[in-house]
Amino acid sequence: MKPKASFESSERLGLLLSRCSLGDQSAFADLYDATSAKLFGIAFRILKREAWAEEALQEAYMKIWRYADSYNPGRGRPMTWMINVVRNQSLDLLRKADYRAAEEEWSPEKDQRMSGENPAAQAETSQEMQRVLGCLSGLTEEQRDCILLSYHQGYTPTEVASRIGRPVGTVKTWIRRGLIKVRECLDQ
Amino acid sequence: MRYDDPELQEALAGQYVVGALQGPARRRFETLMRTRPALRRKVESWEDRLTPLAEETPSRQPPERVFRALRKRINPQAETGRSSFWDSLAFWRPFGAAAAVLVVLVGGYAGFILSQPGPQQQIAATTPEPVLPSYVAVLEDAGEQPALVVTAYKGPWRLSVRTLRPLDRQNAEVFQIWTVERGSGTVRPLLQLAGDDAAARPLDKDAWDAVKTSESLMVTLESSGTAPTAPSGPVLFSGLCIALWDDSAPSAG
Repeated sequence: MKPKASFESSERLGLLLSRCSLGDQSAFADLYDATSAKLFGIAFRILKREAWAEEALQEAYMKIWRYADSYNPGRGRPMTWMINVVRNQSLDLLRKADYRAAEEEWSPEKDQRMSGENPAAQAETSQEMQRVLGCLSGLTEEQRDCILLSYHQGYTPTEVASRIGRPVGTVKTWIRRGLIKVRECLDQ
Repeated sequence: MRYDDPELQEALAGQYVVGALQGPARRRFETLMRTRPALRRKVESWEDRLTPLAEETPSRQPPERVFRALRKRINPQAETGRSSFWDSLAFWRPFGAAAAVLVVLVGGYAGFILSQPGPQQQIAATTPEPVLPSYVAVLEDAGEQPALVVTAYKGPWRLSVRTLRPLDRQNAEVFQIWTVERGSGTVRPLLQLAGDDAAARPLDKDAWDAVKTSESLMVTLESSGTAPTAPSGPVLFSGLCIALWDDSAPSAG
């Protein structure tokens, strides 16, 4: 069972989404206030350019506004749905871009944890995060790095291959086998 | 069919969510997801598994101009002070061309009903009473352009197909319409369409039940003279099957 505070947080976001689906603009403003910093951080990590991240964020919120009624509470938390809307929007933008702004590269060592958010929700997220990290730690270093470079940075297998100097087929295999292990571990 | 392999579906769903599907493969996968609920569910499972990674991403405050732009987009009148009938139609724009077709269909039906004789005149009428369609699906191509409208009626059970524009096919081919079952994603053949003209066919109980339990309908090209049990080619058109009328009342079909 999920912690109560986190449940309430998800419940509140779900309620705001419901009101958005009815055209309630004040609910949309509240939803934006509650979630935009997290979603902007995710877009920025993938796109690494403020202007691109702003564009992705704006388009993602337009989709959230337009398709709020398609969010199904039975299929996951509101934040999960919104995070994947912004991730897909960012990846689409990245694929369209002529070049990649990769000056500020992400690495596990550079990664930071944020504080100052709902502590109970963060505690739950941390538990989930620990589970995922635990499963990732069971992978080979190559499998783990390829998956994280793709997930966090939006790198395609071709881009990962050129960065680590290995054939693209090898990278694809590492990702595929790594994901199988992650699924087996998380679904236990 | 290659994409029916559950292990392949699982692998592709994981790679899609991670962001490792690239180029045409990513677009093809997104097209498949639109018509395959089972595939969509696998993607959602992967999103659930991996999203904790994204949730730990450091927050970053977006500039105020982002919300200002959003507010202007969701409520243009507030910015300009203008409001018109055409502005009110903006509500429908996000729902795409299919919604526009649906609005026209419903509007057309309402006009049809209003043009019918009153109750007393209907007693003497010899033609069948107008029947509201129970289900409607507007099937779109990959570019989200509507191509076909499929409506299902009961009393008796029948299906009507209307093409919205000329559709390309060879002489030896037919358009095969399929139902995609809600939940399981099971695909069943429903009707074959040989030409671009409208078609109306009676439905047996199995076909009616297939429509009733479908999440979406889709169309592939198949060789004429065959009765395929599974699509042999890519999906050309697809769309959600929407229940317009409560079908819970018993019907003789």
